[in-house]
Amino acid sequence: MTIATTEFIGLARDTALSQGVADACFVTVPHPMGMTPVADIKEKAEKAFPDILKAATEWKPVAKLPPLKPVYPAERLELKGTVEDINRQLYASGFSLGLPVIPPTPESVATMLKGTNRKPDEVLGMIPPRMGALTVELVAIHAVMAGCKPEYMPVLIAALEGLLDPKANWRGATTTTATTSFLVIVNGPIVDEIGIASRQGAAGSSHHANASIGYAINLIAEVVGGSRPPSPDKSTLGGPGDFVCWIFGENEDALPKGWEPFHVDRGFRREDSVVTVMGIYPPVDQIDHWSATPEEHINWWAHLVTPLLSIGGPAWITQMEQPHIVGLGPEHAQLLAGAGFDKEQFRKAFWEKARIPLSAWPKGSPNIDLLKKRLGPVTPDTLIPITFKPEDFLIVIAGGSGKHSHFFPPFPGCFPVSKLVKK
Amino acid sequence: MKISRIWKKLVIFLLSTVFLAIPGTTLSEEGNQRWEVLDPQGVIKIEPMEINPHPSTLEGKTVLLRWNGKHNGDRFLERVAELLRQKVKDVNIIYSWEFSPETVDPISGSQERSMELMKKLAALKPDLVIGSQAD
Repeated sequence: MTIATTEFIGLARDTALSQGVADACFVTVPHPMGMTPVADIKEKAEKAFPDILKAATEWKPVAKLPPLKPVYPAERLELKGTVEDINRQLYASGFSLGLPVIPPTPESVATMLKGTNRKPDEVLGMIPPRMGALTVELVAIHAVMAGCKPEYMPVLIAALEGLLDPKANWRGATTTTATTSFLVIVNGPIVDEIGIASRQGAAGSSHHANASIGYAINLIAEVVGGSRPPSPDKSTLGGPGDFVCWIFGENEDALPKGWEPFHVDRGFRREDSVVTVMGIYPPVDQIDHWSATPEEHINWWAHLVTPLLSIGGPAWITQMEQPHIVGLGPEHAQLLAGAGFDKEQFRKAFWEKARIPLSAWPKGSPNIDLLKKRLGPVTPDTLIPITFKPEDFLIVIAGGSGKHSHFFPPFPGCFPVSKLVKK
Repeated sequence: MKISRIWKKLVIFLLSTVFLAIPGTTLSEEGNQRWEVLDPQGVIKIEPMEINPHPSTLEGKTVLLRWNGKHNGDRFLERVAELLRQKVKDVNIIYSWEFSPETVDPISGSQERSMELMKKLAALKPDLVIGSQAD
């Protein structure tokens, strides 16, 4: 039996359904539970108790799952009207995000499929929370809708395969109350081959490949995966990352001498084309116009990016086990490398310094006891790092000229996954 | 020379007639345009999972209370436990967070972690699990 509040009962039902449970036992209590005085919580429990007792001994499942349909080929829909009309109809059916889409005609989808050697009936996986079966044909449908070119298909498929890896925690990132997005980093020759932006303003607008691939990923997440607000996407506010995810190529030309590209650090060959994905909280812009030495620069990093910013949520210990991505701006990277710092020295110095005392955390956090188990005896003055080990700061050279770097904190349970781009 | 000019004019006139005869797409015609598009939603593919039947009574049974770490969920369940003990004879209560503190943290964790957690709790062989989602 699951007890959920009035605001979250929809998510609870959808989650049960997506696990194959057509009819689970729920008891609903008034929202909220968190940040509420204990006396009110006890009263809620007392009021709900008769329902809890009744459900405990009398509940029986009634609903059954609908029969499964074939996943391929996609059903054909007959629509009528102008392009604007078609857009309105697709939006009203829950088939778009509210931004314009290109109608996916059979002909345009067939052309899109020419961009990959993968068979259209291949199932890449089931997208949570709706558990929509994602075929290569369905990827092409969304690629058309988002305005992709056929040659973008291999990168789009690699990104989706990464996100479908259980380590990426697609479900958590798209149903949470937090403001989250996917981060997609592209490395290797494919960056220039298809025009993925990797320099000035790479993750921003006016870059066709980035924009359309990022849009297609989010269309798939919402339309095939069904993670739409207000439920099961429970974002308190949400953000533009729900339309087009964060996507850029590493600026490999700006790598300081002796620094390997991100994908090589991840175990690939330099000549490989690789896509790395991760579910993230909004990144932090680390502005440093002033530091003249690595020590000053790292000191600035350590005060700006504190553990509370990154891992202040309820799943604090989980996040301490997760890699965080440090998007070093080329100018900041040159400052470090010019003084003889390699990646290892930077990440270790940053990790050592970016700590705050345990007393900064709210006392209600259950994670304090868990932390004691991991770190041994701790006092309120014990300085807590962002991650358990410095190796979990992954470094990528991000963007063009300017005094800005970016820190990408992971959403709990979301680990980076890297996939080879296969044509 | 004169004849050639006349021919040219005639050809231009005929071509113009042909082009003018082809109707341009008017707004009303565009509004009636029929489209065949492929369904972008795809189909759901879920393996059904059955839930064990609930016991007909809780007397002498074991009830496992599962808290996911969200604020106050434990306090809600603690009050439920007090009421169960008052109303139900010989009920045995297990608090998941006392039995296995590490199961508190994986909010929004992966499917893998959820399965690990479920196995750990199922090994206790409870007759009923009551979970609080809080928030």
